[in-house]
Amino acid sequence: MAEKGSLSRVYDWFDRQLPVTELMENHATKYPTPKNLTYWWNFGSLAAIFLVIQILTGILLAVQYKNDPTLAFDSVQRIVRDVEWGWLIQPMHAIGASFFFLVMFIHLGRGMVYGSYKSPRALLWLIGCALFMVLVIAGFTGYLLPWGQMSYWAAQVITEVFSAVPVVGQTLVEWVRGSFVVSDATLSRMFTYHIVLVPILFIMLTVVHISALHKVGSSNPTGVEIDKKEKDKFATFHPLTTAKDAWFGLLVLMVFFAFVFFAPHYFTPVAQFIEANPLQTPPEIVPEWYFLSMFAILRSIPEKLLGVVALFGSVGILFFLPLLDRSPVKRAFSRPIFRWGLLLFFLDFIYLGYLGTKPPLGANLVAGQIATLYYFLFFLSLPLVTWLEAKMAAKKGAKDE
Amino acid sequence: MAVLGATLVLFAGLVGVAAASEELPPLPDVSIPTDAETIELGERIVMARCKTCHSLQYLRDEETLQPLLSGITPDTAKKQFGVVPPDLSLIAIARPGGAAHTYAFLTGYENDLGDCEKAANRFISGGCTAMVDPRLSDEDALAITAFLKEAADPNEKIRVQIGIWVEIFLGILTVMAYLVYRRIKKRELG
Repeated sequence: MAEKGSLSRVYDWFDRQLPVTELMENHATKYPTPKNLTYWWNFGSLAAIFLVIQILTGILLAVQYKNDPTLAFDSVQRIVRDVEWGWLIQPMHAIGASFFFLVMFIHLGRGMVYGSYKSPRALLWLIGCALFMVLVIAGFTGYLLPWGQMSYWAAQVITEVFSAVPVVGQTLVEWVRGSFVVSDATLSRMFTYHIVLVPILFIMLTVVHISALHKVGSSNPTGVEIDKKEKDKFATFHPLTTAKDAWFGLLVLMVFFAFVFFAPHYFTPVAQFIEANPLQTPPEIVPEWYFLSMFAILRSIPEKLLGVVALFGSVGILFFLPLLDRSPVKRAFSRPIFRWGLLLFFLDFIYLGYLGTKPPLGANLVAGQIATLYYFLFFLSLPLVTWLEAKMAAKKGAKDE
Repeated sequence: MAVLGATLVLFAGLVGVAAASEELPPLPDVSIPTDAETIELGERIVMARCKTCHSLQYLRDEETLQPLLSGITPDTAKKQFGVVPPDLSLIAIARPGGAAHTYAFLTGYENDLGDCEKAANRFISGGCTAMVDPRLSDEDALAITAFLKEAADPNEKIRVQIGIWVEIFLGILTVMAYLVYRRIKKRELG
């Protein structure tokens, strides 16, 4: 027997006391992946790539950023102008947020099209929804930090929605802001949530999400579960999926860096380049593109409390998807009614985003209300849709015989 | 892949819609010069004229390294003009239309004051401004715009320079990674 090298002896020392090999084989190299996955299955690992980008750039920014209303705006300019490579790190973090949301939307959409929220992946879906909620909190808290006009007024508008809660509304608003208006206290707490709470929750939930995924196995585009014993239908995660994730990830990074280097202000509204001024409301307060659909839902309901319920409900209802849709058919394309309902839902979501940029007046208000109605109707009609589809299938089955 | 592409295009369209909205007259279609000479001319005009009332706090004096403050204090300005003149370091990216708006504003003064107290300008919402017509030639207005654009985004040049190389590097790496994937796919899936 050949003498073992010192490096492999060090490895053995760790492996004896920590499940290094076991973890690596179970969760990376040897994890069985269905061979028929399409590129829609790449967005989970892409989300992980953007999580890493956000954490690394975020740490570097937090070192130089000052969470004080009199210094915050200046410190961001200082980062961009004076800090070594700050001009690269700051837009990477800002553009990274947009890409993170885009990737997350596609990942969620993929889950809906291919029934990834159904048994045995209901818990996996729920953890994913929790991750999405943390991302929403990350987006909201992070947007306040540059302390631009849009930061300030968006925070003012969104924290104001809590006042719709009966009896404790105003107290709740003050509790969230830490003051009567968005101020130093608000900035301090949002900064703390953004750099402590958000990353801890995100990393923890990601680990749980991946553990759950690897317990139940990946879904696949046919919508039919593959028996674990059919070994020829699986490939090990490495090298097939790692190679696929690598090249596709690099392709997306090319697009990402095109924004970072050539259009770093693309997603930034011009009012963000004016320091927050509590005495001057900007002509229009529009949230970032990824919040536009939720914003449209909030504004299309004239009754304040109902609007807030709808706002939180629009994200919350995602958690109930496994409960509402009990159809055994996973793949949307195989379902005669659901396929069109889901397509319309995606178009509806994008249309709501468009309406979010328009003032809620006249025809736009009515359109927003119809779009909001459909948003919820899509989810709530799922038991009925499932029942109808089952009847259709039974009828067709009888005819075939 | 085609559907993926369509999703991205749709997404870009949505963001584009979000970016465009304002009821001012259309901004003049003007290309802002980027040559050092014009920017230097613009800098000289800004330092000689604009800086009397406007600060450029994110720029520094070459000798003292102190932020560039206006000639008059904000208090005096407030007394004299009714408002504190805005800081100019970010002005070329802080208005809808960016630097094109800066140029439009500088050259958009109306001779007829209308209801305005001090000056009328087509390219400001409300149509009135406290800043009197600087009576600039087109060349000077363009030079000022070129300088303010550079002041607002001083890293543009180096960013584009490095960006091109990053894209070339990533492009080669992506193609190589794709070729690796194709070989692995052939081996694993047959």
